[in-house]
Amino acid sequence: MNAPAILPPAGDGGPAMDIYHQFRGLIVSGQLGAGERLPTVRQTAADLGVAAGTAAKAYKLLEHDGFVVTRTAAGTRVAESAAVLPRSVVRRLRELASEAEASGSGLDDVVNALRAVWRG
Amino acid sequence: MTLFLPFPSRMGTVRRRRCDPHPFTLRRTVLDVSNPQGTHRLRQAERSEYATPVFAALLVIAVALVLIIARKRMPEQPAPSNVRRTWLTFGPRGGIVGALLALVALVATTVAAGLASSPDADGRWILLVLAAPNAAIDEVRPWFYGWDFGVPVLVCTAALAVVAWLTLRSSAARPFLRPDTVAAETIARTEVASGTVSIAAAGMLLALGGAWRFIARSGSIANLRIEGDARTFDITWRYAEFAVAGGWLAPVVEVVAFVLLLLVASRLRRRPAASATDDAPASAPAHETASAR
Repeated sequence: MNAPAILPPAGDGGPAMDIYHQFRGLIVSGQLGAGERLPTVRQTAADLGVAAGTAAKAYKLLEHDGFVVTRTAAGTRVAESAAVLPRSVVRRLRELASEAEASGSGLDDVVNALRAVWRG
Repeated sequence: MTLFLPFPSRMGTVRRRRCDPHPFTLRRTVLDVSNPQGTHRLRQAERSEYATPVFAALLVIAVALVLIIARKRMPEQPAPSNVRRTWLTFGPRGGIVGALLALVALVATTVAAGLASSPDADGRWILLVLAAPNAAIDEVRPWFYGWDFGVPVLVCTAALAVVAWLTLRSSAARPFLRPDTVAAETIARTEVASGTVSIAAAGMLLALGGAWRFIARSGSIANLRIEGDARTFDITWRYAEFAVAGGWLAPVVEVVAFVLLLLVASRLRRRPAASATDDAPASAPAHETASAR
């Protein structure tokens, strides 16, 4: 049984373009680091309730525009040229966000502290 | 000729028991060397008893896998994730490393014991050949954790590894129901992964403890006496030190296994209270991104 596509419409080309815009946004905003693996096509399709072919089409668009690189056995990874931050930095940022959330720290406090640490 | 051997009674022809000064010997029995295997038949149940804990763990995890697959639902709202969810995503890293170590130890022990074992007259690899050097007596052949015991363990261990991996993978790959349930579902999946790893590790550790006890029982035989002869003959096995060490470590791994099972049981007992909070709206979906790493 095919489930209906439940991706919210973005108005410029259907679910595949929505997925494309979503991942492009994640890459250019720095939420995905250089060399980081994207979810599998099957996982993305299942998470968003679309057909696997739709997710695959979005990934091909991302690859065509140079945001990701697809290699056999290595999966689809964020292209070095498109990413804002390296993978290691993004991972530590995620850990920082998780730790701060768990400890009840506020976003502003964390950002101010990071800025202070950065300046040394 | 009849030899006194430290040997479990069910594994030989028992005629008489005596106190045994050997520190690793539980009791002595008398074995008829002219018929070393006795009249006992190695039943299938005895052959697979060392695989029972692994098989039990396999069954429990297989049931969990079936439930995960059967309860797979389509998402009510899209909960996009930028994290690639694999079998490692929700699993406790330390627990997975520990389970892999237990797997390696169990497989290595089973293969090594199998290689050290010898076949009986019926071609069953269930004996250990121990020689008494500088003595004109026959070799001693106590029962041992040979291939006939080890192969069921290896088969069940391989199946357990595959089913545990599939369970972790299936649990992680499921789509989230809604964005507001991502945090609660992340916690639930972490608990499923932790329970799966704990049960798998406990099953393998229990089998490992049983194997080490069996090896220690047979491999740590140090001397024997012949009925009607006052002399004591020393017996040597080149891996006797490992057998003795295994006998000492067996209770340790068994205690660790039971602690793991108790932890899983305690988590199951407090699960109703936890699931009640799972229904409450959770924090932002971004939490999954951070915590699932």
